[in-house]
Amino acid sequence: MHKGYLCLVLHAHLPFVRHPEEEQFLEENWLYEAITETYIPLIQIFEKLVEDHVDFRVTMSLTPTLASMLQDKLLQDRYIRHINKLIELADKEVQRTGYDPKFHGLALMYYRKFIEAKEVFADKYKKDLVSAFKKFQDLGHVEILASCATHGFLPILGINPSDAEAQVRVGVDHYRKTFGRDPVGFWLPECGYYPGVDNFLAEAGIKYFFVDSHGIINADPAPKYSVYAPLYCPSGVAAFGRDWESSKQVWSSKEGYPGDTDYREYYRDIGYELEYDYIKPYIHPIGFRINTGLKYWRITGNTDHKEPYVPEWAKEKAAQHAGNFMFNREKQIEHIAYHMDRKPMIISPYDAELFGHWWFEGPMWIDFLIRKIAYDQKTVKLATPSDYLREYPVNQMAVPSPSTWGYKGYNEVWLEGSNDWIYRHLHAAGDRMKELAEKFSNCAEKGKNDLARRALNQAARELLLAQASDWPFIMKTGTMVEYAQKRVKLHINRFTRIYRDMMNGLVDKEWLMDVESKDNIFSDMDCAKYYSSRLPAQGGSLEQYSSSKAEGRVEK
Amino acid sequence: MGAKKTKIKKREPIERVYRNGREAIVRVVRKKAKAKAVVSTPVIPPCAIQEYKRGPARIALNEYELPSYDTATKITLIAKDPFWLYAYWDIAESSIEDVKRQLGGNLDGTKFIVRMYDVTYKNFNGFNANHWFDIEMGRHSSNWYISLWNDNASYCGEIGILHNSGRFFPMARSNFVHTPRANSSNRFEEIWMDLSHEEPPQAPQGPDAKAGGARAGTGGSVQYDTAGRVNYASVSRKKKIYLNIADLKNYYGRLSPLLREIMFSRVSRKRLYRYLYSAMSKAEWHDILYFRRLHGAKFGRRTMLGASEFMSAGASENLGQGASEFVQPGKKRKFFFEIGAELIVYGRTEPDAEVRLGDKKVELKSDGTFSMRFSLPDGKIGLPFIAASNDKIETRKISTTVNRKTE
Repeated sequence: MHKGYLCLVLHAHLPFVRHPEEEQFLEENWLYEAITETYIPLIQIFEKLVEDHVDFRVTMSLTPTLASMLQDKLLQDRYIRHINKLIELADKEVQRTGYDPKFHGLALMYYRKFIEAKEVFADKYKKDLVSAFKKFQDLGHVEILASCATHGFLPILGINPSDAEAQVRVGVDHYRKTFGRDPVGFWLPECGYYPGVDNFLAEAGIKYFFVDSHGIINADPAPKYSVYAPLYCPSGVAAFGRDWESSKQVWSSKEGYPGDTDYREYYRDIGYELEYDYIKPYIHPIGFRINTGLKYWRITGNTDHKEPYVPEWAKEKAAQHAGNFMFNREKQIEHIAYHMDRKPMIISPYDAELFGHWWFEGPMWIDFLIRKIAYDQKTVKLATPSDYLREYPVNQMAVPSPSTWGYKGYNEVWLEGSNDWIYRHLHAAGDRMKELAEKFSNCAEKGKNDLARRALNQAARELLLAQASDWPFIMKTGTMVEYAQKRVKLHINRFTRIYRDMMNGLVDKEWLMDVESKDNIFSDMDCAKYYSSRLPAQGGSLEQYSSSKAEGRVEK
Repeated sequence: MGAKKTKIKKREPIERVYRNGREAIVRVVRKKAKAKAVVSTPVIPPCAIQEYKRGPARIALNEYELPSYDTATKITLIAKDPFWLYAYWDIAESSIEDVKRQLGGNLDGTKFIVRMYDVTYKNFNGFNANHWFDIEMGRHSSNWYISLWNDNASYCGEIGILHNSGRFFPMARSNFVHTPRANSSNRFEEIWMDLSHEEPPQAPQGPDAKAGGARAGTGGSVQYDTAGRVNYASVSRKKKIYLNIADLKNYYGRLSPLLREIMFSRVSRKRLYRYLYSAMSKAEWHDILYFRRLHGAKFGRRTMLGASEFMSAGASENLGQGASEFVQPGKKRKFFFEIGAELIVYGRTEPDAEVRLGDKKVELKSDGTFSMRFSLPDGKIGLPFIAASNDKIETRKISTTVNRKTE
């Protein structure tokens, strides 16, 4: 009989990056790389597990921005172009390394991987990877979390409660539309919690969310069972706390598994190493070198000296590390369970993109871990938070402490010298959005004034896009800073332009159509209604509302 | 009132000084409210939005030039961590003019300040802050990081002009912020909530789950089922203490429990009892005190903390942000020298001939030339090429060997 649970949470998220105006756009590669290196390997692993009848439960988020991109026709077609290019490059590499036993096998490995990726993407799932994850959810193996519309950082956006609420509600409605069911759990972007945000979640029908360890440990009153059991917020939504020990083992690049010397080195890419003319067709069209995804070296050690990657060794290490992780969880659970009147649950949340993209062997590690937990021991069981709440509906009530999973545990990552300037604009735009929605909601009904409705909705989309927590995060970390700054400015400006135009009573239709086609996230949702107190919030009822009105008119 | 304002006696309470400054703001606010009431009610035509093509220059915005908001004075506070706040503000020229008028036309002997009020556990009305402090600003600064002494406190700020005489003319008041706790709570009473009567989280099995239904669950209002409805004996043998609704509201009203701790030590028990827990019975009250004194309770909890114990202040200290440590740009190398060798082999034949390297076919270009490149490791490589004419009658064989040696 098992003594406790392990909850593996993979947070899959990318900011909305889609640039139809340019033939090739560097930042779109974030998506393509993540598809090849993370999402498809995960899908392959899940498929294999289902095929082998392994019992497993994984909790995953698939944020609205990521899901929208995965379902976007343009980006799907561009991914095909991208993967074709990679297959071509890998093919060339197979030939080029023909006499070099150290690398020939690696080139073949990449070639095979790319071919498989294309097969999964194009043939198996008809370019729609969201349907793959939906399938695993419907099979009962993966529980997909809802998340904020555009990964807005709620502790700071929450200064305008309407902004935080709209982020939550757009996210939840998008989830219903995408996955055809009501969400149970919610991923607070960056685990950013503040007391009161749970009220919005409760209103949207959410049952649980996650916070960082100190959100639970510093909760008031103090929690009896630390992070190993959830707390109910007074609103009745459960807060699950991240287990720090298990997080560190995987996250930390120094002490953690991903830093092992046998694993693949991320920073040595043939995009930077091979002769310029040869690699030129596969790097950025302007000519600067970028990562291609083909990497031939292992971490080796702390110096610049690198040895060639040996897949067999890496696989062996991944198995060892999965065993070690499981062993530690067993010991942890045995120890904790002794102090508790219920089974403890260990929450281990990670960015999904860590697995595969940064840590090449990560998906393999997950595979080993799931299989080992299923067959090699009896102490730990994989479960999702909703499994746990079904088993234990009585939990301690306390108010979690405001917290995030960022550096130092609070808001510093998203609020510091490099990025604090954005909040003046985000908050002001939030106020203006509310003003617009209140003022023009009467013409936002369907069929009344199409132009006004479209302008209003586009204003809401621009605001949501500007609010993504990715922008301040990128500004802080210092890579691609310029792009993040541009994006915030761009969306704020587009928003401001619509705001001013509407206040002046004139909207430039051509310009609006152009913007609509570029920032087309949530294009089939009425985003503005979430900011208005007048319009009914629920999906279908809007139509009912306007049609009943129309009927009234006919009678007269 | 206006006459009074100019004559302030030296030893008048400080609130008085305040109040005078404040009245100005109240008046302005009222005026604004009135003005707003007039402006916002007129009937907006059902829809005033019309279309136009190619906007005139006045509306064209540079896509990367940010808008400014200095038509209204506004200040906003954001908590950065338990001990730091961030404040940003915009000052409208008209607010300054207002103050100028009150000061008789000029701003001599004044400075711009942000006045920060500690309003922890207070229902702030302008005068009842626990304490306050000023931060001097330049006219053109627009944001500031403010360091604090205590965690878990509530703050509110005002941007305004301070005159040498001590009069303060606030121009705008901020939102209220509450800083996070830096340590674990001192309260150990247990409150349990039973949600089993609610619809349990929907089982993930089965794809036929209903979609887009009405809001499930709590039905809008928070249900505090904390009382004896649950059979606690089965949960734990320790006494359970629960709080009343008003106390729960205090949590959300962000009134600091920390202050209660301080009051425990300062105020007589009886008064405190009346003040805080008037709805509780004496026995319950006794339980709280009893529980607080249980040393074992604290100790037991310590063992529970396990790994997380050493992370008293803000958890993920050493953790970096998620992937951020991976995102760091590549490492700095000073000097480096690397050498690689590649081998290019090329040749030509009839365009319609077939060339093989070993058993692999070589692609010919349309003019019959071909070229191949190989990575060249140390050692010996043999390259046996065979060309066969289109009709397979003639074949030619060329074998070449390359030897690389690195020292």
